[in-house]
Amino acid sequence: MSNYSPLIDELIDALRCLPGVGPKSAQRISFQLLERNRGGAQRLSEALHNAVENVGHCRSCRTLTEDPECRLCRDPRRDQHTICVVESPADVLAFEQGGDYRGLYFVLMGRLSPIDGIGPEDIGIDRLVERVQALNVSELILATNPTVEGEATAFYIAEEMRRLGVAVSRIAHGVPLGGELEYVDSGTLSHALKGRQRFE
Amino acid sequence: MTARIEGQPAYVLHLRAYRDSSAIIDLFSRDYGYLSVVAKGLKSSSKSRQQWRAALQPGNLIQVSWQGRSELKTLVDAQLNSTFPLRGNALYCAFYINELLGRLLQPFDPQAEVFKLYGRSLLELSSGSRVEPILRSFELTLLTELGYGVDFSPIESAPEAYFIYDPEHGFCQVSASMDAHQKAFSGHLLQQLARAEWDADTLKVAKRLNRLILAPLLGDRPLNSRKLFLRQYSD
Repeated sequence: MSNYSPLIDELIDALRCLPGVGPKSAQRISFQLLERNRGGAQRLSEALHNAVENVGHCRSCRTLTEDPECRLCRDPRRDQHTICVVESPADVLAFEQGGDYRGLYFVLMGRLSPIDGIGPEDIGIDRLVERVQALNVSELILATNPTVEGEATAFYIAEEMRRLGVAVSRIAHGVPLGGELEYVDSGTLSHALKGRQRFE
Repeated sequence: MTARIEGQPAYVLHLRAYRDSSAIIDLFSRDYGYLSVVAKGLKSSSKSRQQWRAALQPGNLIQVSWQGRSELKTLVDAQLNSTFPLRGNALYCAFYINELLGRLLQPFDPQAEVFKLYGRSLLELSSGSRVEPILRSFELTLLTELGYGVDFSPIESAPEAYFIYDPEHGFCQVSASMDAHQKAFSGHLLQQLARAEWDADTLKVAKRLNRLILAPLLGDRPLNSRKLFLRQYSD
């Protein structure tokens, strides 16, 4: 039984959809906003409303954007013949923070998960194939996560690309920078060993 | 049911995200059979959770500890024991095998022989052998072990005859005048199949037969992992 009025209850309940927010935190956030920061609350509510109303998927790479085509896809300085395939928009951000990659992206918004019924049509493979053909791509980089499902996804895409005659590469798996070998799991170490490079 | 189990060998069948940072993992353990555990805070960047993430990939053999009194257990520890280097097509097959086990095994029903069969099948898949004989043997042995085995005895005396399979009555001999190519199985091929002598014909027969036996067990929910094969290898 709740002790609050319906509007406050609704707010507390709604806040619980946020990751990491349980009933207690939801209550704390609600009171913080209502008691001390009405301006911030107004801004949050407008930002949330606008984003939910307007943000969709880029028609080229499927990442989240309010434009029909995202900023990266529109940028003429990006290498139009290389596409890096990632699982989520957060992965695009991770690559962009690195700053080494100058090509385009394709965001699957998930990965193949055969047992959960997530198939190729759910992760936009048809769109990827169309895009690769339209741009006359010379290299497709597979940057799905190094999990079993990520590998299955990479393999599936590689097979599709093989039919199109497009060169496919997979990002290396290995030891993290600043890591200590004794703490690295054996699977990663064996990948790192297999993928070793000539030392120059 | 015992509250805490330590160091149990188990295969990881499936992992799905649960709440913000946790996951529910379906395991096939040696002594306790099929069960699900929740791995709390799996996405955290701590050392122990990084090890869990590496260990809890489908197909891995792990040493696992869990506790809890409800049917969904809480994972206490997971150590990687061995991993099978499955790639490509063999990986799709492993998904299929995992899904099949998830659908047919009963929770907390130990199946020591199926446990061995699973390990053997993954090893064969990772060795790069042809996948069809591995899958068909797996299905037939699994069905036998779970008590849905096929009785091949009606065929032994009549290799020249034709048979139809009925989930309730098993093999029934049919007259040669019946349309043999549509529904009936040749006794000769069934004998080969019973001896696991695989060639293109027996593999086809085994596929059709296993589908017939599996259909009532799977009900109206088809196996999802089949779709992947259908799409990529249909042309």
